[in-house]
Amino acid sequence: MKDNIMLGQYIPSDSVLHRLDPRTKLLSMLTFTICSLLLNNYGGYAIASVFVGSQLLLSRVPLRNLLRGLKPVVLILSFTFVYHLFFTPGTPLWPGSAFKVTEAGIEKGLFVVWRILLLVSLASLLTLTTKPLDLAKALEQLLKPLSRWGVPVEAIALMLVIAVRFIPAIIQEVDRIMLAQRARGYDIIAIKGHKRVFAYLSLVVPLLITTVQRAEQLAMTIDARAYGTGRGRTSYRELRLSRMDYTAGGVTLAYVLLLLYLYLNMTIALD
Amino acid sequence: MKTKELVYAALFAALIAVLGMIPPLPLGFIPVPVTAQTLGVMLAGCFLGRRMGTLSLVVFIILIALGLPVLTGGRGGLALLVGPSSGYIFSWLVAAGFIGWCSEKIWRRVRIWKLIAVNLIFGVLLVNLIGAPVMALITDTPVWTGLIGALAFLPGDMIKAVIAAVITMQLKEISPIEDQAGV
Repeated sequence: MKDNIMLGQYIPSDSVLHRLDPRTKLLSMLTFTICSLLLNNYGGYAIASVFVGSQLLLSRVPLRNLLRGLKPVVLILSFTFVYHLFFTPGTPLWPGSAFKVTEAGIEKGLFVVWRILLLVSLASLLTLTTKPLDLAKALEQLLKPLSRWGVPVEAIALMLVIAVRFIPAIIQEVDRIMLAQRARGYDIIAIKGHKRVFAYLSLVVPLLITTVQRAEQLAMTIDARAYGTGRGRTSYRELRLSRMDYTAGGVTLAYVLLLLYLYLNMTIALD
Repeated sequence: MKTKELVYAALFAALIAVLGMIPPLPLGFIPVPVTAQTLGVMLAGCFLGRRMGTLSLVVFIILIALGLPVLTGGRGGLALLVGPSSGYIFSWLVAAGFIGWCSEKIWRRVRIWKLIAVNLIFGVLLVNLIGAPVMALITDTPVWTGLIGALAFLPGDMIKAVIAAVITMQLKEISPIEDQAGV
């Protein structure tokens, strides 16, 4: 199975987006995502598209990887567009035809698909330009104020690191179990039909047992090293904001305010 | 929070990720293959209980957000948490919590049919009842279209509910719930 899971979808490069602090990128993406839900006119969509498009260019990420990120949603988007085409009330473009396509339907479908593409593209860009553990670090920092309300932020950070670290180990365990089963004349992949269902059992049961054993050992090890509750821990790697981060934050804020302005304008005009 | 709880939740999140990589099982009569990922979600609830099960799904969802390719087919990234399928992913969190809660409730008088029932109600029905409306909301289509699409996943999900119950019964002795029950 995979060997490079630690890198996630990260693509090494030296672009501006790669060098930004992950906190800046995460907050910008979330803010933009929330504002995108308010898009309701061509002006807003145009501005949002300019924003996302310029980010894509700045990142210098190959187009192939961006398109791969969109592949999972193509099927759903196609269905959505076709649905709106046929079922939105309005004036048919070709009266009397079997296809009741309406002008409003085309516009509605276009808007919905467009918005989802914007959201998915920007989110893909974040994961393409940021390493997973850097993003984990950013999440931990941003969630730190929640410690005041009892959210165990340090515990969540530790769980993330353990999970990332042990995915390759458990993958090796799966390979080892499959190999051992095959050596005993029981090839899981070769089994057909309903017997494959019970083949899952002979794989998952030992996998679960070894995971439980590993958990017990790891918990004891962590306690023996006096980790405690995680509060007051120091960090091997620190995040640092640069002037570029403030510039990027400002640009995102400007775009968001512009979108809000257009949205309010449209809302007032409709009253 | 105890260290053991943290470690169990983290390792189970990793386990759910790895289960997503196991080759899917094609059923001949429906177009979608059966993946082992939701089996991991049901196991997290059945085997770990409410608290650790929910925590492991929280960690798993954060792993998706970080961009790790932990979903079936090597997918991951924040795109999936803001896209049409996000409702299903977040419903796993709710499902694991409810399955774990019921599992703890029935643990002293546990029977395999009870576990199957719990997995079917929360692991199959609840997941679709949360996922379909969210997909409908994001794509601006009626809920019934999403529910009809979800029918294709029902046979595979039912099989996984049974498998999860069987596995939990087999490994009942080493479950963390057993530790809590003080048996």
